[in-house]
Amino acid sequence: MSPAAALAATIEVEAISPRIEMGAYEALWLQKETTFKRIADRFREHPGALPSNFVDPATAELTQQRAAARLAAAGINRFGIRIHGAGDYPVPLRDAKEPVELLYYRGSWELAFTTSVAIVGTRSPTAEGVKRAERLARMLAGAGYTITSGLATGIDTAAHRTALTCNAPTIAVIGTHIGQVYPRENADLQKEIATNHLLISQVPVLRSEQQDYRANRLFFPERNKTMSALSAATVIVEAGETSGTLTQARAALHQGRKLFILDNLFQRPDLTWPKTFLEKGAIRVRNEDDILAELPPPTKAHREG
Amino acid sequence: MTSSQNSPLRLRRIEKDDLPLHTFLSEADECYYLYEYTSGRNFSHSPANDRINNLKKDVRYKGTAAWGYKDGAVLQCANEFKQTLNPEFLAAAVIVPVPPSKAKSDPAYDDRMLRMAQAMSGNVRELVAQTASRQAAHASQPGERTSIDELKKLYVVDEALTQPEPGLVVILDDVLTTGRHYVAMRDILRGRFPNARIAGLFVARRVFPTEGDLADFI
Repeated sequence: MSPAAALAATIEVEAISPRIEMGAYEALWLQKETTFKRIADRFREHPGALPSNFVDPATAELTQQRAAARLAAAGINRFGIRIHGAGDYPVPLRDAKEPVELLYYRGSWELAFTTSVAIVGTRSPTAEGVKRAERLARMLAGAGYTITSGLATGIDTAAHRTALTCNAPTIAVIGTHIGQVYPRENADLQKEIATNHLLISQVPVLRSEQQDYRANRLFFPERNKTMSALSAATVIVEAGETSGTLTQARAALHQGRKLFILDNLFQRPDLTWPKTFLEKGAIRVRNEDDILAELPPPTKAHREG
Repeated sequence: MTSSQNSPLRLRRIEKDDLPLHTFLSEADECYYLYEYTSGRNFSHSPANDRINNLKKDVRYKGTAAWGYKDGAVLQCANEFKQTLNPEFLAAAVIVPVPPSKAKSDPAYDDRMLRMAQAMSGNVRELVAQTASRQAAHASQPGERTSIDELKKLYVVDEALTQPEPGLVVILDDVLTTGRHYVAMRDILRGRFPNARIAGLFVARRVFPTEGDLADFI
């Protein structure tokens, strides 16, 4: 071999291996007392770091294989990952207080770059609440927006289903790992979104399978922060005083996103949060059409070739 | 939106989990990419798809506003490669653009990859020339694409450019699909420079959103 060839053979490109990053992320989450906040703090202290900077390569490789095997056992053989630090990671996600360093997805990643509006609310809505969610989703879908929600029962389900009925794109940001179906009654809806739309999860596969449902409940509000960061705005259709939806309300305002609260919620004597958020910058929606005037223009969808 | 911080950009390496989408590559191939280009969806406005659509703008738009987007995309890609590649690696590399589907004498000849290479490195050699025009892969129907063996018959090493003998050859292309062009180039170059390290550099690799789409293509 020539000296030039011998030298060239040793130079590293310094590229990312997505599967090693996935394994490293999963391994980080297997460390004791890991939370999204602790991970975010660690990456803030080390700007430009990758999960693989904190985990040895052999552990990352082994952990990736274990996590991929768990997903395969759940019937998920194809999934994608996005890494902060490589191409195709949406910059708006960095507006979250604890931005995700890695996430999993199924479906069409391109939808993450469309202008989307999150429609969220309680799991036990009134009949009127469901109608409002459907009306809003129809209006926003008709205007060209992607409908984002969290695939929960109630308002979320109404938002996703209406988007599908309108043949409009929809994104579900879920609080379980990418291979889990939750809630059970939305199994078909989740499959439809994962196949023809976009399903996103930041939840670590192995960690969430190792701990019980009480610990896993903490992942649900985390996904609301990501959902808000990914969306141009959030609309709250109906939510009680202690609803998880309010996590998203706080996140939206913190991230500089528009937060819309429907007018009827201000008229309910049992609720104090609408007024609190109004004072912090939320928009009271007296006429649903007014929302459109407050939104950035939708991304123009065009057909390929 | 108040996006305060630009996301860093790093190259990703094609690894074994990716091979089902790039059927002609093997684990031994050293290929890198910046983005994923989603095929088979109505939405084609992600930054990656925009970039690729601009890069592939047909030469008949030359002189129109659309051509400006193409030039912009060529330079953006070159800059991103310069930022993401290890400087030592870039300095040691001979960049070899994949020849376009149309020969230089053809009015539809598109030199986008040559221009991208020249904008990222002073060490560019058109080591592989194409002897005749063929149907552009993205304009052809599945099954009509030129096979690896047919490509190898069209490709010739330009002997005038072979010295000094390269130690590191980087084959540059815009989209990695099945890997046919890369493999044909790799084999031709390996035959001529058996000691050289050969790598592939792509703006994007093509992905499909669902398994159903995948089944239609391979």
